[in-house]
Amino acid sequence: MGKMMESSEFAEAVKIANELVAQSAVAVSARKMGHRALTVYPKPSASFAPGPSQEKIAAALAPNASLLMEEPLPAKSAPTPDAALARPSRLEAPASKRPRQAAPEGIYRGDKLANALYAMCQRGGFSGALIVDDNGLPLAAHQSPVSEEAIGAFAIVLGTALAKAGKLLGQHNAENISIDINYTEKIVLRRFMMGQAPGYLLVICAQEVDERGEVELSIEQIAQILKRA
Amino acid sequence: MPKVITVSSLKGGVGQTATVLNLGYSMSRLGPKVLVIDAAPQSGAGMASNARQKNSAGLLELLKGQAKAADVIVSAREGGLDFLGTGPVEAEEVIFFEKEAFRGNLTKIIRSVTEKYDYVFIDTATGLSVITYICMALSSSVIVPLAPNALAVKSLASMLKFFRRVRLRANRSLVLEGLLFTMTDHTSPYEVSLINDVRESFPPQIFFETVIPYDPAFEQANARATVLAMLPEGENAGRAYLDLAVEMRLREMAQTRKGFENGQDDGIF
Repeated sequence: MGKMMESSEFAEAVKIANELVAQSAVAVSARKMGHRALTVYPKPSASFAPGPSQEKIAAALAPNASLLMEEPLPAKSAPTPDAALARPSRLEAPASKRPRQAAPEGIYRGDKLANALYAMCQRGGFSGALIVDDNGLPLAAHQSPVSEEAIGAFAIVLGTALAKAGKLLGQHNAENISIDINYTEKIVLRRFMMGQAPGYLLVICAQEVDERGEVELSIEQIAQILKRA
Repeated sequence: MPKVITVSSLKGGVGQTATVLNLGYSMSRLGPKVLVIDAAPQSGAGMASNARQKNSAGLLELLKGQAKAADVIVSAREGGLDFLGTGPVEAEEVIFFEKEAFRGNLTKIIRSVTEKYDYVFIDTATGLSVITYICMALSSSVIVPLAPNALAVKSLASMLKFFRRVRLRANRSLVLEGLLFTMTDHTSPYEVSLINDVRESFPPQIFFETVIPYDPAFEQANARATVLAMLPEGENAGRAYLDLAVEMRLREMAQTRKGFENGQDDGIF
């Protein structure tokens, strides 16, 4: 089992699955609805060898067992149909199972945002991306070229420039601004609302990359993650 | 607009056709009008049911313009389940079938016959093909049955890559309805351990909570050309598919709740 889990095919499948979740390409999460216990459908009892019922075993284990016991108990390790039927409704792994590991998706908001940024950069071919709040505090980053705090502060400067440039050109609800650097790279800032306050998604990519579609697709997902938090 | 769901798998023998028929039947018993389409040239779903005996014509006749939809669709004895088979596909017609799919005619035919249904389940041929691509391209979502064995799990990467490609190139609104563990033996420590390990490694929302157990009644259902729920001995496995249908409906209710959260609370009517 371990070798299968370590195989490249398995790792690739997990990676694609995480990407699909980040892209909202998976139907509504079961986890959002709360888990129902898995239903167990035991094999028909006819396929098992007959054995004593649980009541008989309980009686045999009672203090006056020798008086109540009508037939000898089987060896402790022998499987019984009632024991199989009495399995809990959640699938149980054998005792030798390795310890549980957290799902790669992550359970914290920062992990989810980082995963979303990672998936967006993979799909769009971006060099890096960062999400900051309206105070310049970085909420998540992927491949930030310099310290996240520095980029976060710069995002606020760009955000202010976006608001002023928008007013200047009569576009009061301007949402994005782009700066080309040396005909090679560009920095794109997308403003979005986190509840009542603005937030910023900053993307760094090559100038020939058309980032608009990918940014617009991802912004909704990012807003959803922030909203759920 | 119907919800069109393609059931597809890279590996054979994972209960793909059984899932289409039994899930389709279970969903129809919950109330919605359901159409099952057998888009696999080998007509697996047609053989697993007695639909071919009732009407041997199917998609092939529609593609050739030799029949109308009403002439080729078969209705189940009970429930709101209809069935559209492939028709008698001979070896040379498999190529015709794929060419028509490639030209977009299969898409047009399927869209034209699905309008009056709430749910449409499409059974595709095992593996990746033009027909599978076309079916995914016209679908709302995809279900991938997954048997608890190493080969099935290893083949998942190719299936997900294929799904991702269809989504990027042909259908941006396509979603993965879920991976469905089928043919499971809950009394086997190996299978139980594999299922738990796989579920822990993948994002949890990618799996259905319902797991379809292996049951000898599957074989009996195939032999008697019916669905599990119609067999007295198929109660357990049939109930699992009913659970799956309920789970899918619950997901849709969760989406409705999501709409309310977003402020679309305009009342019940």
